[in-house]
Amino acid sequence: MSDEFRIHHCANQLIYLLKASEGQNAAEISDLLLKNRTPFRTTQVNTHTATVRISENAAKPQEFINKYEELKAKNVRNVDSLVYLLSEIMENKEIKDTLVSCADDKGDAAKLIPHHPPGGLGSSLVTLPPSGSKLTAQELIELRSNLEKATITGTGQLTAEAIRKMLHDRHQSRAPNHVVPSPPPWLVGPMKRRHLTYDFPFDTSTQHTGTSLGNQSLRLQEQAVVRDLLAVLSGIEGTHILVRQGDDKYSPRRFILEPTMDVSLAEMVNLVVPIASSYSIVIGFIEERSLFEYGKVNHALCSAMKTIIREYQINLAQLDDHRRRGDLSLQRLVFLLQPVLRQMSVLSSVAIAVERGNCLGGSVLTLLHKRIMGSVGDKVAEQLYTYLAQLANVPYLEMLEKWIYKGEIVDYYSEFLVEEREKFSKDKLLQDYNDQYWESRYTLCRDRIPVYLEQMADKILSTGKYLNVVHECGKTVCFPGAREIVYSPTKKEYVKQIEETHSYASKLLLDLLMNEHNLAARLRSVKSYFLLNESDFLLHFMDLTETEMKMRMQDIMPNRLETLLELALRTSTSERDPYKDDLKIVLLNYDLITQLVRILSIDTVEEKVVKSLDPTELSLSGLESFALDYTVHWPLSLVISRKALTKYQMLFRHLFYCKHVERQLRNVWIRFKSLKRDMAVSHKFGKAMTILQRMLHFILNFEYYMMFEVLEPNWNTLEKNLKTAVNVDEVLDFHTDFLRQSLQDCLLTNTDLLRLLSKLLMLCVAFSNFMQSLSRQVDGPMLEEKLEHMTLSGPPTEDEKRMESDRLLTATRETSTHLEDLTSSEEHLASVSTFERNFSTVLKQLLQDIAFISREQGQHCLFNILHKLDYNGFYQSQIIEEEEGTADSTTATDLISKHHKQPSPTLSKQNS
Amino acid sequence: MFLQFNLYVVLEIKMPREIITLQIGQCGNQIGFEYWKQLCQEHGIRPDGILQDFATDGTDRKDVFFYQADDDHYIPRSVLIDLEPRVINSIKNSEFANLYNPENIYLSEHGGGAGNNWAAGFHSGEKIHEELFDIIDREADGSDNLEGFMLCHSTAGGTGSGLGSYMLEHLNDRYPKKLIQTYSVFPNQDEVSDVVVQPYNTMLTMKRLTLHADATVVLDNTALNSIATERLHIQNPSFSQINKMVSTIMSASTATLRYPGYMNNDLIGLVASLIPTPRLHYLMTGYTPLVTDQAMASVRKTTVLDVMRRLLQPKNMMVFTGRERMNQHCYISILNIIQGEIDPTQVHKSLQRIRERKLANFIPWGPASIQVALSRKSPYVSSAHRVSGLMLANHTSIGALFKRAARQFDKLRKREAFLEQFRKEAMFTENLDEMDASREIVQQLTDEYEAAATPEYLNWGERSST
Ligand SMILES: Nc1nc2c(ncn2[C@@H]2O[C@H](COP(=O)(O)OP(=O)(O)OP(=O)(O)O)[C@@H](O)[C@H]2O)c(=O)[nH]1
Ligand SMILES: [Mg+2]
Repeated sequence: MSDEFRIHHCANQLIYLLKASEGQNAAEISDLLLKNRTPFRTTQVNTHTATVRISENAAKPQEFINKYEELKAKNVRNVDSLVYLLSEIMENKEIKDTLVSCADDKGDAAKLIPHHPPGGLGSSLVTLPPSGSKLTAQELIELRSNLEKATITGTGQLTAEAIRKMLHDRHQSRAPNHVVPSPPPWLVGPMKRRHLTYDFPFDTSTQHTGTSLGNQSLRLQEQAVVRDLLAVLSGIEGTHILVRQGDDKYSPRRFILEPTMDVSLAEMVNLVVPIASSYSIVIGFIEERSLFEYGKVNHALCSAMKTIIREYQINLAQLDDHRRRGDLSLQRLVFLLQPVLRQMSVLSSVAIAVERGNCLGGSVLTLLHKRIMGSVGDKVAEQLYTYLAQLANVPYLEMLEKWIYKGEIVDYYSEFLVEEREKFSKDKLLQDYNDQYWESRYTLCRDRIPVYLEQMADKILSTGKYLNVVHECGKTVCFPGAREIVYSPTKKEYVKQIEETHSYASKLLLDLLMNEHNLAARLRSVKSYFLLNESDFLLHFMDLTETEMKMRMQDIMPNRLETLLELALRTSTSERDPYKDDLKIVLLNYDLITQLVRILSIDTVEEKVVKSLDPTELSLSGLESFALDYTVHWPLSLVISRKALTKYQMLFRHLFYCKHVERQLRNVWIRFKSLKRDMAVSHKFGKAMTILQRMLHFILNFEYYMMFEVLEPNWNTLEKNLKTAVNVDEVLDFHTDFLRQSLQDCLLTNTDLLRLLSKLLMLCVAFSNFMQSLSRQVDGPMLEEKLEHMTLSGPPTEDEKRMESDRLLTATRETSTHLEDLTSSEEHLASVSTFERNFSTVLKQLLQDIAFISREQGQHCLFNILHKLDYNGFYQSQIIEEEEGTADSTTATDLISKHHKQPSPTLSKQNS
Repeated sequence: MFLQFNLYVVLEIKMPREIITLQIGQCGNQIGFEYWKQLCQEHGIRPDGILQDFATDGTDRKDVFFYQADDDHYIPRSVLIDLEPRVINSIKNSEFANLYNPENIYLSEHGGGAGNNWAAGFHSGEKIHEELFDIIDREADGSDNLEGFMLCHSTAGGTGSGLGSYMLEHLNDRYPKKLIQTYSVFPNQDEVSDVVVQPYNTMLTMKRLTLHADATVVLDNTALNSIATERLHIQNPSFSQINKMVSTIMSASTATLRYPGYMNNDLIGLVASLIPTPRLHYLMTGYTPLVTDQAMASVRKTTVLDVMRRLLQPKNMMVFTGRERMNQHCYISILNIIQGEIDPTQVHKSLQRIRERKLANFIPWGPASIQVALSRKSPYVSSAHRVSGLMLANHTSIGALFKRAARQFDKLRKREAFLEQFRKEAMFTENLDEMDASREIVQQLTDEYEAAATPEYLNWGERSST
């Protein structure tokens, strides 16, 4: 569903941006896209050919390559698929031309670039909603403003300061009462003390001293150069070797040798100074990245680098010692430093890559991992990378351990692959229909996943989620098999560990829900109330609330309904349900049809139409606004969330209304059962009685269909599935499936069928009101009251009884003449036949529509309705007959409005 | 203030939909006796009304048919009436003696019954009216939301038919909104009639059944006997053997009221859909598998389809419709009450199969189908059968029964035979008009059933009344 939504949204954007012709419809396009989806598999080969192809055609190939490399370095996902897509577009002349002409049309090709600036893509500042969740309007606005912000900041090179500031701000906003230390001004910023660093101070004003080296002997020159070189290697500018920063902090340093230096010495010096350059870059990196904002992984990486640097410095000290003792020639120095040269360049390349990619957390780890993978055969590099990776991974894997062993996230720096969003709190599960606690409280951040955990990411997410729920239930979680997780580029020990924990957590939470909180029994209880499978309580409740249901919603005292419900529960078989106290009633200020149409149209074009329907302007009756509700506690609210309950509620209201209609019709049956005493009168009502029979037949069979051919089998499937479920996600899926299927098969998801259905139900109610009013005219209001009285408060007193039977004797006699007048009147006959015509027209329409839908869309369950409602083919034969002649088409609405004193779903409103 | 008062009133009310059973005459009391025996078994109630230990936390509803006395034992909502002491005394001497409320028993201790005389039974109703309605009103008072009455009687004797007719008329007047369902035993046609005047009695009772009962379950001794002999292989079946079958039917037909489920949890729910026009309220029944069909059960598992198919076979019907041409007749409505652990999809498949094979013929003038009510079974009564089914059907061939009764009536009436006893009673001292009026009603009924088998039924009323 949400995928569909995103795709639809994208298609819409595309159409808008391309100013496509009106004929194009976003819905069609997204349909097409949805149907033709195949996952894109990145392979080295196809990305390589794609990049080659593009760069061959590009106006500025180098820029493209650079950009590509940059994005790759930033570890942006989907670069490869995007590149592939671009190259495909390039190949396809037609598309290319269209795009070009589009761009020309608009006169501004830049506008063609949607609101995702390339800079914004990589920066993790913009948190795209995780796939799997649906965008709410609010989020959409947020996202948009984020994107815009990112566009602004994303243009131009981000300075280190700017990045730092953003990171810092983010921490502040994430945890407002958590004070983030900011580095003192003397350490960063323009005021910084230049000499408080292991790096060169980079003073461009330094000059070679006046005493020229060339005047000295080669021996002395060598001594001076060695001394200078050792200083330069440890970050101190020499007298004969000056240092300049280069283009920026991460480009190679420039070394200016005294021009008079002996050429052979100078050559050797030039062999060594790259070490100093690397050293400088690494030190710069370490000092920068040790700051608070860069997060634990960077800190760990820096500390690992520091260890190496320390060793390097010890080495230098030893060399200096040799020098002092006079046995360090420049030649020897160069020789001794050869291995260091390699090591330092490896270190600095890491520093540069991390910096260029502005890598944080997981992406640092990804980078290191990829380096290791790419350095097979290069022993020195491989060892170094591995060393760095192992140390850099420690804090990350600690977070991972906390998460998968305890379900906790301690992640001040937003590095971890799972993100916690506090605004989705578990308390809202029960209040908010759109709450997505389960989907959105914890989400995966794709670009924070270290590449080697990519496969495991989903499992990691759910493991922690499960444990977290257990934790939230006030239980201490302790995975008995908890071991330290160690990074290793080759040995996949952690995979096993994660798998184990995952199955442990799944089982733990499942046991908690199933055994401790009796999910199955809970669901059964919910089912027995909302789906009426032990509906004797409802029967009593309807008896008890006859008057309330007719009252206006505002006039009903909810307490009283509550009491009556309790009473009905206590005197029915539901008495034995241990959870019966959790059942409540609510009076909603919208009726079922409005609710349904509103929900159905959320994802469709009809949204606008429905928004114009203001539910508050209608005055609802008790019957329309009444619904059951159920108190669910954490953690069961995960499964029986507000969303699920709302669906149960919709099913309930639907069934409840059907039961109500059935009840109305039966009351007519009871009222007219005495017809049999007089043949003549009973003949007058013959036609009305057959309509009554048809309506009863319809409603009973439709109820039977819903209860025994939809709900019961679906329920059985659900129960069976629940037994096989191995984790809570499966439980949730099964439960959602159950509700979705049930709603669909009860015709609650198709607006057209729903309209016909509720029209039929309304016709039934209108008809029974019509019949009741007939009989009321016959009996007179007095008798009516008396009868009501009798049914409500037990048998009449002696006096009443006598009066009653006296009147009845006369009444029957009067009745027969009176009735005769009534029934022969034109109006009566006309009404009755209009009812008949309308009812069968609408019913036949429904049958035909259902036949069509079940044929076209393969919803076979719907087909069963046909068998149920027209078992003996009565309507079918009429339909066939009519296909020759033309059917009469009087609208049903006038009749409904005329006899529809008792309110029922307000459909006529939507029809007109 | 007003609402509060209302609340108070309502809080006093418990809401089962009670049904009061009236058993009248020998036959009525004998089948009633079997019925209560069966209910006690199904609900785990001992013959003295105390709940068995194993049945204390059942999920059934006992309060529709029983109420609890102060000492918690269960008492049937039943009124036992006879004009002679023999049958009721034998109940009083059985182990169920203490089950019934002694105040609910009316019998004339020294009476000799109505002597197979309908008129005598009817007129004695006038005499004991007060006493009977005292009992009935008290029972009605004792219930909170009375749904209706169930009357058990025979049509052939004097008390069940005559007094039964009287009660029908007056119940209907006094409780116009309550349902009256009867279980009416029609006499055996094959036997040389033990009661010569039974055609008169039957005819006079039929009029009241037609005009005052809301639903009549026809139990035909002819069919019951032949099923007992041919299917159950009982030579000369006794009444108590036949009454076992009757009580099985009665208990199955009330199963959904006692074991509530999705649907059909009240009597009106069962009856309203079966009876499209008020007069066509005669229901046939069929039941399968019967007790000694066990041989069949051992061959293979009984499926829902087996049950539903067998229910459609005329030989399983508890009404003998003779050689009536079945293909001209049709079902007006069917309700199958299927008991046991049943997967509803099986029901669906069975219905489909029956439809495809056209195993049931329905009315041409309206939608009709086999309604199915799924009900639980009593956990306390062991049964060899996984699934069992009761069919309640409104079938136009029931007219055959009425024609048969009318033929026999006409034969006697023409000869004015055996009328002396009737003329002694007030209703017939002056003339025999009531006889002919009853005959007329039965004729109308027969005609209506006949018409109901044709498409013209929709206009039948209009034509015949002009
Ligand atoms: N199925 C069945 N039929 C019975 C039973 N007892 C009597 N009948 C039938 O009922 C008819 C006779 O009516 P009874 O019920 O005996 O007569 P009654 O109502 O007691 O009336 P009186 O004896 O005349 O006062 C005959 O057709 C019998 O076949 C019984 O226990 N079961
Ligand atoms: Mg007798």
